[in-house]
Amino acid sequence: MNREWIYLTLITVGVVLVQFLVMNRIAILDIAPDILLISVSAVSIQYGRTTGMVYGFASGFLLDLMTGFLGVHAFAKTISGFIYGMFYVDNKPLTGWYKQQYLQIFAIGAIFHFLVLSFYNHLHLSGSVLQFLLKFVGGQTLYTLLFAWLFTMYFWNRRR
Amino acid sequence: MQRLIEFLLKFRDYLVLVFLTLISNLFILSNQNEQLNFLRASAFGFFAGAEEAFSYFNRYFEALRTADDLRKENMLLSEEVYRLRTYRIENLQLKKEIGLSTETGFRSVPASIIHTSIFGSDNTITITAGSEDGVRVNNLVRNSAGVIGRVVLVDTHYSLVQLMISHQFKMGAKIQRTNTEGLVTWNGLAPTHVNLNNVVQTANVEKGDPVVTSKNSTFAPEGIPVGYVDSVFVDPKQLFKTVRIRTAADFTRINHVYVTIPEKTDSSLIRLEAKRNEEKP
Repeated sequence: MNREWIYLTLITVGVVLVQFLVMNRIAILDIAPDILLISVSAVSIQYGRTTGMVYGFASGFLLDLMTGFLGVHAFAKTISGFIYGMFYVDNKPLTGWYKQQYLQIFAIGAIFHFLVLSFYNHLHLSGSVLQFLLKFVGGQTLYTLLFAWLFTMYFWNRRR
Repeated sequence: MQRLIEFLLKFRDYLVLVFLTLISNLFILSNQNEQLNFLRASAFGFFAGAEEAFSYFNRYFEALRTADDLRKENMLLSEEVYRLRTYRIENLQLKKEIGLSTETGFRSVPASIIHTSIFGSDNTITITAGSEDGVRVNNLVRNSAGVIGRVVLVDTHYSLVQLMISHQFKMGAKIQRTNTEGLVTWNGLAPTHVNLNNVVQTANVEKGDPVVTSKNSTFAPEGIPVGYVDSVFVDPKQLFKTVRIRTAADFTRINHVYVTIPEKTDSSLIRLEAKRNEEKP
């Protein structure tokens, strides 16, 4: 169990660094994917709601430290951890879900996650809310979903 | 006691959610807090160091494009420098005649960009100039085209710059032709445009008018290019009209910037330069 958590911590730090250093560079139309959300979803579905929320908060806070604005990602990823954790089933590991089911669950959590981020971001903006939501919620959810699909292709095939 | 423990265990998830939500919102609200600023600046400095090492790869690939851009810009600047030298001498002479100060009051510190984040509404860049170079919070950041943003967080060697296309950015600016004042904000959509709000309905504004920083700005020196008027929205029910501005700087292609730092310049140096220019054939 301890070894599993050490691996998980190392992977998380790696994912946060990749998110910070790489993801902005592969943005399309100003939309960058959030691969940290994939790890939040995986941990929450695998270990449950409380662990998912704490994990989401800690990893989001780490990302906030890198970007220089504290609290926003920590808040959004805590909410995501809570939502993904609702799909936790005792003794049913992440790979116990079908890929399609996981992707559907992921999309639901991602929409809430980007809605929370957009709510904070749009508080001070004067532009069209609909356009903003389409771009930052719709666009980012779809782009991140693509990475979640790549994650399932790798992780599910590796485990079976 | 037993019942309390049972209650806490039963609603553990919700209590953790409320607790973490409160903490993260406390962080959001306290971002300008002195103590938290120290934590932010320390963490930011540490990660900016890692980012700088990573950015070498990017810089290599950007080098060819930058060299090409610089060649073109150099040609334009050479012509402009020639014209400006003539104007400068004329300007200094006129100022001397009417007794105006010749001090600019600002100096520029060049910096490279090691991280760009323009994919949300809190858009920032990380630059390689920090407190050791004299950079302070609220210093204006510009490039050769115009205003880029302002410094919001300073470490010893790095600074975090809030871009003009950021939801929290606000700056006084004016339409250069008519001196009409307004407030620059971003509406969160296109990274190529900002709005000039609070422009009086009666103001004369035309497409293509240059917009520059005004003396009413709390952190920017007057006269730095912001952009050009693209369109004007007039709502008869409102007191003000909104002017849409195409930004002078291209935020998707910035590599190097200058931090404008206020200082008292020595007017004797300016006089010396003027004398030297006058002596040139």
